[in-house]
Amino acid sequence: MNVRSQVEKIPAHPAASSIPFRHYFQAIGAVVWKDLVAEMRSRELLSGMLVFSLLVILIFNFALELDAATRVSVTAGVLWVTFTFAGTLGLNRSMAVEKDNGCLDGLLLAPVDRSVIYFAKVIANLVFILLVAAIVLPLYSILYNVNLFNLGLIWVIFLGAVGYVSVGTLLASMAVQARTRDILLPILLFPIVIPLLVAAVKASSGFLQGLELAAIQPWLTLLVVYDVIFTAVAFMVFDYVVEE
Amino acid sequence: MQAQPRVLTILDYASALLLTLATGMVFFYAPTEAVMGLVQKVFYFHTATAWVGMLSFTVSLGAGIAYLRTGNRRWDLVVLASVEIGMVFMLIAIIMGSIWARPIWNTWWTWDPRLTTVTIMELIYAAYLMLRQGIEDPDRRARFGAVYVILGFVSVPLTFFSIRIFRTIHPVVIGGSDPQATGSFDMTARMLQTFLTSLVVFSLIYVDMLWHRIRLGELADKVEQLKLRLS
Amino acid sequence: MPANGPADTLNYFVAGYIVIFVIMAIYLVSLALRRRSLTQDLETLEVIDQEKGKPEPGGFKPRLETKDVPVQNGESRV
Repeated sequence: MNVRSQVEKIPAHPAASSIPFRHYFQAIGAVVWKDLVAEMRSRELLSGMLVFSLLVILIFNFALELDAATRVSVTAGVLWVTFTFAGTLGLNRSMAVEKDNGCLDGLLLAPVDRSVIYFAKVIANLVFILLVAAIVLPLYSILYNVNLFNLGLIWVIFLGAVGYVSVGTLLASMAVQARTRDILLPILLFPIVIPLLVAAVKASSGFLQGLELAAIQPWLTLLVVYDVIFTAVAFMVFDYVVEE
Repeated sequence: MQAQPRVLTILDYASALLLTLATGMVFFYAPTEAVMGLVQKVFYFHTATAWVGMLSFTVSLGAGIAYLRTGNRRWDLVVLASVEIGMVFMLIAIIMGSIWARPIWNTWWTWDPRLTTVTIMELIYAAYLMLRQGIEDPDRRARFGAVYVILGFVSVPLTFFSIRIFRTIHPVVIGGSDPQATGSFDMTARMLQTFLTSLVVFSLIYVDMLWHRIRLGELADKVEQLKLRLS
Repeated sequence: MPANGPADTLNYFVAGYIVIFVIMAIYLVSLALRRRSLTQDLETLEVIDQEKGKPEPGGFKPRLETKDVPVQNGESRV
């Protein structure tokens, strides 16, 4: 496997944790690159997430009868519901591929710290979700005649995606090993991701409605806190999820 | 299965007795509140069961961490038992709260931070049980369960705060302006005694049930191991 | 809301307490039923085990001592 050969070029160390930073980041980079390249070839993950997102937005069009005025205020909610659901698709798929192809075992045998795998998957998933957002936003703007090119909004989407993917990658690693893998991830993920969702929707809404920064500040703080806490916790427990 | 240890039997009787005592106190000893009438008495067991729910959650967190660090499967049994019992008691607390709310605030439900957070907690518990159900390997099941319990526990305060901030900016529309105002009351000495007794009694009941549930878990483990061995 | 004397909320009070006891009872019964079912499973499995006549495999022992303790009165004490 390509990645193994790349990763094996990194000199093995008796204690994985004493690998110098440079090698650590190289390892992460190698795994991320593998994921991105694989996805560029097949594009099944991205296209799946994209089509699904558009369908969800379409359904919202009929489910919520939006006149021009209401449209602006529910935009944030609709966007985040879309991302949340499309995100679970992406996470499921991303981890399932790993497991089904046995890549995970290959990675585990490589002489790197386990956390490399975790961070690499997080970064790859983050890239995917941001790519989808990058396409969905302009499309939504056009379809609903709402201006979404808002720096604050983009920042919120980034923060929200980071938190979502940090928790989601960990939970997807677990869910994918269960019998009920597809239905299990949303059930595990959604209750835990609620604070993130609340903060993201309120912050997005705030920026779209042009509220002043002071009013949006608590939500941004909450987002950052969530991201930091959960990335740290996930990092600490990831070992227990992948050990054999 | 080993016969039940004597201490547990004593605990059983003690719990049943004390529950009767507490119920008696609630029905006869505690005074009727001046404004709300009898339904206020629901408060005693409502808070006691909610307290047990919280306690359960915390115990399952501790046991989860202990399992990950030691690998001893007994901790996993504690996690499972605590989660299950926590779900039951929290459910009781939620329903009782709803019954209290109906005559006082004229609504069965409000989306206030505490109630919403507690409901989300119930969903996290339920998700934990579903996670366990989906995994065959006992060791992996225990590990993943422990990881999820930790994540869940960490998320709860964040959920609470997020909804709290949410609510202060958007005041509660359903159920009146400030639920706290119309629902609050001062406790007299007798009320306080009844309240504290209820807390203690339910804590004891929790320990009793936890013990029983752990024993059941051991039995289930034994059966499962035997099945694996014989198949 | 405050009228002459406390509001009549007896029904709610009764409903509340019925709920507590019913839910607890349901849970206790569920524990008892699960125990009974597991005990039966265990007995069946142990019989199969004896019949197979396998020597105790090295490295595996049920955690608790397995004596054939007959369940008293066929009922699980909860």
